[in-house]
Amino acid sequence: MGSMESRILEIIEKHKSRDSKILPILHGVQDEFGYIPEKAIKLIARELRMKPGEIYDTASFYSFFRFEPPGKHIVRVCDCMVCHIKGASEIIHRIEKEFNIHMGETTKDGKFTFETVEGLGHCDESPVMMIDDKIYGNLDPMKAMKILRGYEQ
Amino acid sequence: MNLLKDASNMKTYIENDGFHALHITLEHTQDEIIEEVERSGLLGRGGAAFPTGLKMKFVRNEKTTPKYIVGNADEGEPGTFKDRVLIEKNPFQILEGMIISAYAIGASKGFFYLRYEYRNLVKEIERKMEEMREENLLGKNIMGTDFSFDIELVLGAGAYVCGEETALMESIEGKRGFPRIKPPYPAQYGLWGKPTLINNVETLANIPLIVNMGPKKYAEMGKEGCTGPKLFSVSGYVRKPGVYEANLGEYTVREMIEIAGGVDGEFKGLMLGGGAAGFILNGNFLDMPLCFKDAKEWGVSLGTGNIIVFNQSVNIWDVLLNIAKFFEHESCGQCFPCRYGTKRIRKIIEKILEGKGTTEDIEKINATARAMKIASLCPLGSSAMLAYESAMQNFRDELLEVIS
Repeated sequence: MGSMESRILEIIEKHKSRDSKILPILHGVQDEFGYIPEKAIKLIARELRMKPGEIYDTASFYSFFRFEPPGKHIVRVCDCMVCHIKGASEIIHRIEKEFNIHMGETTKDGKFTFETVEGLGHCDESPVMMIDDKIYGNLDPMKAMKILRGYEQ
Repeated sequence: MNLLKDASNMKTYIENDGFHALHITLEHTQDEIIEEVERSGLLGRGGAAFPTGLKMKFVRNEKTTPKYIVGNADEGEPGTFKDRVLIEKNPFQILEGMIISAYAIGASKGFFYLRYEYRNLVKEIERKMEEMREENLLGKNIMGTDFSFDIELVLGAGAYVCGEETALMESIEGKRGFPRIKPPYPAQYGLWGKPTLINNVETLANIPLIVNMGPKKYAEMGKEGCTGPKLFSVSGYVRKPGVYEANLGEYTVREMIEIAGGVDGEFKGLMLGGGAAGFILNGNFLDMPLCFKDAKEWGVSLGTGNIIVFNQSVNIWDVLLNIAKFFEHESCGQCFPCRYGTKRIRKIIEKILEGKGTTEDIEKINATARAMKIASLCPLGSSAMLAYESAMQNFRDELLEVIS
C-alpha cells in the first residue's frame, strides 16, 4: 500500500498550489485508481489541514465521484429528455436484460459498470452513451449491444 | 459566422482578427470597455439574459480586491449543447473575451468551469491556455502592458445545480455545490467572498466582437432589446439536429426548425428555453421570433436558446415524468421545498402514468408547484415546474384526458 500512498501524495502535491484545489485533487485520485479510496480522503485532509469529513462532504455531493472500484469500463447511458423521447429507455431495458443487472451496478465479471446520466451534451446524435471517455451516438438497442460486445473482448 | 467560426488553432484564429480586440482593449481605459459592452446591448447567454455591461459595472465599482472572473461552461440543461460546440470550434474567442472582461473589471485571476461530461476537452483547453502563455496573451504583463491575468481550469463532477452561479462558486472553492442565499450577489460577495464576475462562455465570446466592430455595429445585428448573434441548440425530432447561429430576432421558431432540416414526422410541439427548466409549447408558438424581448411578450423565455422538437410519437406526461425525475435527482437537498417537492411531483406523475390519476392529484401538483416557486432557495426549485405549467396551458386536453 506504500505505493498507493506515495501516488496520492504526488497528486496532492501537483495541485496544491492551485486556488481551486479540492476538485482537481479528487479528479486526479479517481483518474489514477478509478475511485476515491478512504486512504485518499485521509491524506488529502492531512495535507490540506482539513478534516476527513470535510473532504468526504464535498466528494460525496458530486455524482461522478465514486468510493468503490468500478468495472473495467464505465458505461453511461444518457436518459436526458432528448435521448428519452428518442428511445433511451429501450436501450436501458435491453442492457439490463442482456447483462442481467440494474443501472448503477457492476457486472459480476467486473467488465462493466452501468449508469444512467442526465445529459451528455451530445443531443445532436441522440440517443447517446459514453463508454469511458468515448461518445457513441444515434443508437438503437441493437447497435448499443454490438458496441458493448466489442468492449467485452 | 461570428461565433461558430472554425478557429480552433491559434494560427487560424489570429488570421481571423484573433486577439485584435485584446490589443485594442489594452489601449483603452477599463470604463471605456465597460461602456462599449453596455452600449452593445449584450444580454447574458446562459439563460437569465441579464445585461452583461451592467454586471461588469457592478464588479468594477467594488473596492475590495482581489477580484475574480468565472467562465461558466457548466452546460447542464438537457438539450443544450451549444457551449460544447463553441468550445470545440472557437475556444480562443471565449478566452479572449474572458481576458478583456478581466481587464475591464480589474481581475487578475479567472476560472474556467467545465462540466464533467466534457472532460475530454480538458487537455485541449489546457494546451490552448499554455500556447497563450507562450505568446504572452495570458500570464504576467500581457502584451507587454502592466496587466497580468491567468486562468485556472476547474472540472466539475456532475451536478446540474452547479450551473447556478453561487453553487458554482462553492464548487470552485472545493465545497459541495449548495447555492447561496442572494443578496449579497457575486459582484459583492463571490469567490472566497471577493467581487466576482461570472458569465456564460457564449456571453464571453461576444465581447471580442463588440470591441472589434464597435457597439453600434454590433447592435445592428439583431434588434432593440435583443442584439447580437446567438447560438441555438436544436434537437429532438428534426432531420438535422445541431447548433445553429443566428442573430437574435432574425428568425422565428418555425424558421429555425426549418434550418435544422424540418420536423422528422408530424409536428406536435416543442420545448423551448431548456430541456428541464423550459417551456412545453404547441404550434401557436411557431411564429414567435427568437428574441429575448419577443419571448418575454409571449410569456416565455429563450433560456439558453434551446429547441427540442416533439413529433406525434411523444407523450407529454412521459416527458413530464422524465423532467420530474431529473429535478428530483438534481435537487441539491439544501432547502426543503425543492428537496421534498421534486420527489412528490415525481411520485404523482408516476401514478398518473399508471392510469390512476385523479383531479385531486392535479390539485396536489399545483399546490406543490406553488410552494416550490415561492419558497425555494434557488432557481432550480422555482423553475422546476415551468415545463408542467406550460404543458398544462398548451396541452391541457391531452393531459387531462387520462385523469379521472
